[in-house]
Amino acid sequence: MLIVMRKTADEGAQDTIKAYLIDRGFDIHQSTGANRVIIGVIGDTESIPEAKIAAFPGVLQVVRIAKEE
Amino acid sequence: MTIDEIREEIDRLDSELLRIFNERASLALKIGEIKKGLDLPVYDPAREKRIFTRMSAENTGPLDDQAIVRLFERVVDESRRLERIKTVGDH
Repeated sequence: MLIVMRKTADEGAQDTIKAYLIDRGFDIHQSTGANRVIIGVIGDTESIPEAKIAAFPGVLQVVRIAKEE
Repeated sequence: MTIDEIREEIDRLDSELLRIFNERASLALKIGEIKKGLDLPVYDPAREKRIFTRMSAENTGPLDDQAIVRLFERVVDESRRLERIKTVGDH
């Protein structure tokens, strides 16, 4: 799962999402670009409710990676 | 210097980085053990920010500060993963 943060998202918004994911046992890889922060979520993300993540302040887009069969 | 000589030097530095990464990881594991004992959270955003700020401040290039932050984000991500394994077990 990839979480794309809004340009206007502050560090507190990032921290909130990261804490939510880490508390639930997921590893994250943050990539900070000049304009955007992307949080890559590692692990079995099927249990993560996409709508809940999208509702966090500062989230622009949630991209679920298709499962490879 | 020739290309081969430069590559040899890069290989030498990569080996040194590998040793340093693992030395750092060993310390992260110790932190994980201590956090487990004290029931502290793995994620410490203030500490992570201090690392990025300090590394940017000490950076003399040629990598720019954003590149330094990106590199240390990965280092911190992996250290946190190790700490998590230590504190709550792997999945």
